[in-house]
Amino acid sequence: MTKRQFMEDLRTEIAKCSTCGQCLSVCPVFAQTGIETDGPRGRLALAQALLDRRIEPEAAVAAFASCALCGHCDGVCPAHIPLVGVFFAARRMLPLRAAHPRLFHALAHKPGVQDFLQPLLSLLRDFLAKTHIRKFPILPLQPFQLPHIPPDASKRRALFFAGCITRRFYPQIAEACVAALRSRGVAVIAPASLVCCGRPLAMQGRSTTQAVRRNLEVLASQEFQWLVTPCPGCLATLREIWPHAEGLTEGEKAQTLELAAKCVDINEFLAEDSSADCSVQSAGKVWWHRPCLMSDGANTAALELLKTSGSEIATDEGLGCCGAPLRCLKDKKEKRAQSSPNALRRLAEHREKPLAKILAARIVRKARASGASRIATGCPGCMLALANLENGESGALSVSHSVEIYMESRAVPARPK
Amino acid sequence: MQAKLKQIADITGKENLFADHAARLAYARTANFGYSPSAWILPLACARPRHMGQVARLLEFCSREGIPVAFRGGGTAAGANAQPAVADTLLILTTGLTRILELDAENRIAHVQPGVTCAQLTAAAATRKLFYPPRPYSAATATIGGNVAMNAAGAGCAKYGSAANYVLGLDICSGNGEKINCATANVMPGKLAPGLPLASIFCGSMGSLAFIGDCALRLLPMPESVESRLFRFHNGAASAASQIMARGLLPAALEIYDPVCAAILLDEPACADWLLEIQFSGCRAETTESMLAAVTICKSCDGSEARTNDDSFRKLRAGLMPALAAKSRFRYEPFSCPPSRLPMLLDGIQDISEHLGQKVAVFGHADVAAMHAAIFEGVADMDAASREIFALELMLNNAMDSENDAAQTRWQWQTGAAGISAISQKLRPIFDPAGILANNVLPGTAQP
Repeated sequence: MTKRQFMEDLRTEIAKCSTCGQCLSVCPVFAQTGIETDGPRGRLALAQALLDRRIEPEAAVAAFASCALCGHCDGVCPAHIPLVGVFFAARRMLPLRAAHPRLFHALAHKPGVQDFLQPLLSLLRDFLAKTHIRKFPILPLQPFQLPHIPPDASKRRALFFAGCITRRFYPQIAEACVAALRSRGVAVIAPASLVCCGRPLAMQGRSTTQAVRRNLEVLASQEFQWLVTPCPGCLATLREIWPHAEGLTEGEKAQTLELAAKCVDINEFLAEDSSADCSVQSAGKVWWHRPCLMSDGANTAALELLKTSGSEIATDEGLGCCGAPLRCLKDKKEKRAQSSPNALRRLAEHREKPLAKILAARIVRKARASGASRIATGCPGCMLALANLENGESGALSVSHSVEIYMESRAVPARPK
Repeated sequence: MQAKLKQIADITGKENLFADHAARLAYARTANFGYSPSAWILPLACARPRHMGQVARLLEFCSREGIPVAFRGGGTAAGANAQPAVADTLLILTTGLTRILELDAENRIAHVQPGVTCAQLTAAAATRKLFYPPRPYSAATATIGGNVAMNAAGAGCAKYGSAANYVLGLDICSGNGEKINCATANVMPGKLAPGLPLASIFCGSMGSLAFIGDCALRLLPMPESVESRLFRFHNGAASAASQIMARGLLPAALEIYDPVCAAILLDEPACADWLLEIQFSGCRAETTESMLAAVTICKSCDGSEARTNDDSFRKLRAGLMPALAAKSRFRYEPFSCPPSRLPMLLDGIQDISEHLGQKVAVFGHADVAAMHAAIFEGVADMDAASREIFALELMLNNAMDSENDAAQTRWQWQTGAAGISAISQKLRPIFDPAGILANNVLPGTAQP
């Protein structure tokens, strides 16, 4: 698709909006601020203005940066406008400021270098955590690596797509997932050369083409029946962003579509094969946070898994987004903070977008009020957002992936009745 | 202008004044279907007062400086009343006033700030087994302030009436910043406060007289039973509807949809049937009996039952206008006639549509024969369709249209307009001496 046609399509989609405002009733960010530019309807008007060159891109940044790309608006739009698609496209036109150092993007396609750097960063993190300058999420010394067991040729094969957050921050989730898959009689492969799915790049308005190409190359050389992932963000990207990446050849595009059909959320995969044979031992009360990007099917499946693990579940779907996606862009405030005299402390205060913090704090507060002892969710991104907050505000609550809880309960041998 | 903005910011606080280009663009329009982007007029800025004191100071400042003002709530109005009509208009948002102040379940009165959405009030009232009858389909986003200012209704107007029927008291702030409490807030239904019933002037004033602040609203107890059915007709939906009304039944909703709308609502692109949505509420015996009678009438008019109403139908219905607009831009034209002549009215519309070669979608509230037409943009002269629809209405001896979102567009043709127009013109300077309030919207008072 040429750029010009892409713009025309975008224009057609935006023109469908009659500003009825249904989207505002479900937008988690609008619910907090109540400002038109913080809601899908306002952003759509700005996207139109961007196309018509009636606004400078710089002036529209704040409105788009406040969008969590959670997709709730997509579900209610009576005109069926692909809102999230429009917002991703709009980000490509904007000078967004990523929250991470530039180096990060250079490394996005080089997992080997990342693996090499991880122990160093991990030690640095521990040092900084002691100085209380900033609370970083815990970074393990080693990223996830699949223990090498030659895959059994007779078994059906699943490719495990861990995703960057699981791989770097939560190797224990990956291990639980792999163990669960193996216990279902599935051979698991997880090529170390897979790179970032591209979602963070797309959220920061960058091209995903290189990431998609690299991954397609790796995936083409593997044989597998399913692509299983513990991250709904990666899943949504594989399904919805990869086929529309710029500049793909027809062959590559066909490959992405073929892949999209093979993708499955780990929760759904485990619940589908319901040879559930678990010890029912009470795992205590769990607060379930539904990740915005998780499909209905995966959500039901995750709840099913938690139930089989003997957890008592409390939840409130109306709460919506935890604000995790807001953390990948820099706040304007930070720029000011950096130039002020007491820069280091200001930096610590402003690093986190207040909005992201408010959204996450809301969920933690509800969870604590429900009397749950831990928060369960199906997305490592959400875990990072909720656990990062946990240091100061959530007290004794721990945050886990649904598969972790499920596997914990299976580790205990079943009690005889 | 910068100095003026700074003074406004002093009143509301910097964080509640949105004057950047992005905000001005985003607030430039409300839900209107026929306007093209080039027709938007950007507001000077948007101020979000946090209490009535700030509203009064803002209005006082604006009338002193001669800054035109428009009020905006959820931004769902299909008319142009909540968007700037002239350049350099200050938009005053009600979205900073979003608290339900009190829900007096014993006396069935709700005190709410104007920025509360209809859905929020409905949800809060439901916890006390009460409800607020006006139910616009944009309830999820539409606010109570706008609801009262537009005297909005929705389905079931014949049974429940419109917003004005539920207003017990209003705190208003006139154009020059004077706060007036219309009727005491503790007034009981049926007992009037001393003096003229002022509150009713502001219901339907479309923001042209005053800012509508805290509202005291009458709530009704939730009916014991609500029964809904959906019927489809090849022809004769309108005659079934008017027979239901003629029979003396009082439905809580009697909604009629032409095939274009039915295709969207039933998710059947090839649908060629009309739809009639019937709802009764009350005690169980009553709803059952009424529904039985209505079903008999529908069957005698060759109606067949479609799938029963469910959440998905309600969701599609709430988004009907936007879904139509996504097909093609249209001009929104409300029209009506006495309910007994509904079949003639709808036949007439079909004739006009065929005769002009103009695609028209029609739906609306059959119980009061208040209909909405979407005249899709096409080759023919758009005004011709509007004119012919109006001529048809006059022929059917129509009274004034109560669903008056866009009524001002044909005010000039309305019989009796001159008298009301003269009174309105005398009334306006009392509340708005400087003439700063949305002066294009109140019919007959537009400045040349």
